[in-house]
Amino acid sequence: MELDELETRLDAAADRLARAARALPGLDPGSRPFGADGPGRLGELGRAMSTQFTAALDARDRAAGSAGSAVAHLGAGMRHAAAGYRDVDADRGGQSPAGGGA
Amino acid sequence: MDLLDRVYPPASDLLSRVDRALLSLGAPPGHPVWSVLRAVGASPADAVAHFVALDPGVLTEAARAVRTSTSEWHEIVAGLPRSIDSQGVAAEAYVNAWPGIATHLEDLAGGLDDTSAFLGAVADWMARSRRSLAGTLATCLGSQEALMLRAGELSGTSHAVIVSAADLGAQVLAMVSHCLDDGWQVRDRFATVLTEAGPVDRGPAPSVQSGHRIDVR
Repeated sequence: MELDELETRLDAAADRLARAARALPGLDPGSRPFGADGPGRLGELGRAMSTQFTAALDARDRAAGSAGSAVAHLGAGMRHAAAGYRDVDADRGGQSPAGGGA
Repeated sequence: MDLLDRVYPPASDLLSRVDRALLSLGAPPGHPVWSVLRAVGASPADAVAHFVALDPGVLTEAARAVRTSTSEWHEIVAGLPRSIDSQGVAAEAYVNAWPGIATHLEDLAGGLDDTSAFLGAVADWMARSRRSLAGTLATCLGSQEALMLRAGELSGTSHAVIVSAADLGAQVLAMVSHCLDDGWQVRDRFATVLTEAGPVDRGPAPSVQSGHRIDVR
């Protein structure tokens, strides 16, 4: 695999990560199905369950953001390297394809 | 439609009578209904109505949606190569960073699996509670106390009516209290879903030797 292709795949992965992360909050059914509006200690339990679920989704959301930025950072690095190779090729008259050794 | 859905309509009138008797006539001092009333913080009719309104199916469906979303993360990991043919600083940077990113994404998928399992466990708890409560209500419906309450005049001060309402209320709320304890245990057992994944390990920086050179062919 050459750097150009890897760069493309990393960009696609970063986009997919961002989309999947954006979809996470939509998986929360809200507090009512947990019984958060119930009376007395029943409502207390429902709210605690709902809060725990929302916090778990938030934790996954942060992890997704962290993964997304790592992949995007890696993609930027590959893009930078591939551009460098292309510049060298251009200087030499385009004899070597991007993705050559460096 | 589960057992509670079937038992609740005939039981709701009895529960209303229990509530009215407890509110208007009270209960004997030291009766067990007092301690379960404090533990639950709701009247028998309100507590049962709460479980009747809970629909485990909504959370089962939400659990399925969360579980389905995890495949997305696995696919993202699978879509990235472990290594590349190129050599050099960029290739080394990629190979160094790949394990950390893959591990992070796998941990993320694992965390979502746990989150889905939590939703499933809450749905199971709801279904279990509804079954238990339905059994208790069925027992109450056929009891001597129920007969007494239906026949008795709630505005009176018949000791038998007061005790019957207190007994039935205690029986229902004891089951509700048991379901509450069960629910808190489910919630505590899945406290691990809150575990945060650490930062992504991007691996060591690629090494650039002093003699490093770019071969331009």
